[in-house]
Amino acid sequence: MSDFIRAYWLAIRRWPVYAGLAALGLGLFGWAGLSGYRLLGDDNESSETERGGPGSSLSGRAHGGHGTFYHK
Amino acid sequence: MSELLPAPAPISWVDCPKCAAQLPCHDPAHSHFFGCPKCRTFFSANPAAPASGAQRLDGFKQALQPGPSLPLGLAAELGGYRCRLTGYQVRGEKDDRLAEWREYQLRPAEPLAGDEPADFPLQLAEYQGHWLLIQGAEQTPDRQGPRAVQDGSWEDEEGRNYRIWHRYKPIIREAIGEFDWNILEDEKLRITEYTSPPYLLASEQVGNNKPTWYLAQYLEPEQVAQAFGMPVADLPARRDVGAAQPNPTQHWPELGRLTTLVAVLLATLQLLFFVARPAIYQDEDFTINEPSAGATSRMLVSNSFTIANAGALAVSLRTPDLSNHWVEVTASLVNEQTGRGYEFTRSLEYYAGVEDGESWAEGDRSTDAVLSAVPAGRYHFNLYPTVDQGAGAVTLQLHTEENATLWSNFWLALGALGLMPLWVWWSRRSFEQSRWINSDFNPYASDT
Repeated sequence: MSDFIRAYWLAIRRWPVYAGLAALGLGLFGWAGLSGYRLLGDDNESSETERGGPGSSLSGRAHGGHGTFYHK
Repeated sequence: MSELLPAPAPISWVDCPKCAAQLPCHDPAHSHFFGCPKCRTFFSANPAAPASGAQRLDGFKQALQPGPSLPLGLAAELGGYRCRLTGYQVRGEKDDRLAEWREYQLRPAEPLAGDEPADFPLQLAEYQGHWLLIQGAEQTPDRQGPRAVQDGSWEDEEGRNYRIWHRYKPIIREAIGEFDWNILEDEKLRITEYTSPPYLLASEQVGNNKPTWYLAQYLEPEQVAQAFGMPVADLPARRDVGAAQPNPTQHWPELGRLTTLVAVLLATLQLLFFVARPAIYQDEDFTINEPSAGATSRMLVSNSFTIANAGALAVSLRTPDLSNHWVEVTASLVNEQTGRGYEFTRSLEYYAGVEDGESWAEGDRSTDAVLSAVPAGRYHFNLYPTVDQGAGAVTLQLHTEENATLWSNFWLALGALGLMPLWVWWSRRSFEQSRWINSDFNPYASDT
């Protein structure tokens, strides 16, 4: 076991920048995993609190649908 | 570091048998062969008995440029010993007209008590600005058996692996100064070199006689300049990669070990997320009816559901019976306690038919979206569908996955943390390819 730790300690001393980046990356990955945060960004198109109908993000063919919904 | 000392007065002198120039001799007890710097004659003489006369052995046509970059007579500490440069020779290969390197004979700067140590440096060699300090080899391969060179490689007791680098027959192109052996005899040698940077192991063999082994260690030009107390700019500029030049990424195995550990930790964390927070699936079906002329589209509302822990919510929309039409849906996830909304819009279209007897299909009846870091709370979806004219009633399936596994995070982290090792690996490989391109035993030959 001590050989195992010694080998990795030597590796960390040889590559301190990578060891630091790896620690940072693992921490970020762990935080993102716990909070369900997608690092590449998600598909949420709304940044505001809303209860209303669809926002202005409609694209393509359905523009005629704007403002024609009634709500529950 | 050894300080630069003026060359001391030689102990004795010998006369050139051709031009009668007087040559200094710093080691009369051992030096019996001399190269005249004036007329390029190579001769044998006994400085201890000048009356015995000198004998001309050969003559070199002309002085080769650029000449010695280290002046003969200089002393320096090399390999733990005080050494003096006493001879200089230019060597080449019988089968390679262009190959040319320089070798400096080393002798003790001051007389040594007792026998000369086995590890006393013998020569300093320079090729294309790359320096090697040569001494007798303590560990050598056997001629046969398990400790012999096998498939061009050999491993010493420290686990250092030597690979065959070069095989050649030397020729002497020029020699000046004093030598303790007849260097012209070396033209009978067959030399084989094995590299394991920063070391080069060389065997010298005449016929089938027992080979003599030498071990060379790479010296940085700065080390040579420092040892002789001269500016590094006065030494030949380094070109290409030397046979025994250490790879700048020689600590790659440690980085590889770290990278493996990081990959294992990432995979373990991902597995922990997967196990500790299992996904919760929900499905709900809706029917989208095409509004009649002048009517409004109808908003669809899902059942309420509770998200227990903050996390990612994967949403999938499917229209299994959609055919030759399109549907566009804006989905709005609404937190019933805070009113906060998360929204995305997706188009689904599917067209199929038969043309010239061949069936075709394009588009997709399903689409996905991910809402990340959705806080815990009670939610429902408001769905705002718009359907193509003539599509009729379309079934819309809403599928949600709470605590969705974010594989993109895993691959992104793995990729980001793999960039530096990848770059180092590539640099290392490029360096080795540049080194081995000068060898007849290039293991990368099939790659280039």
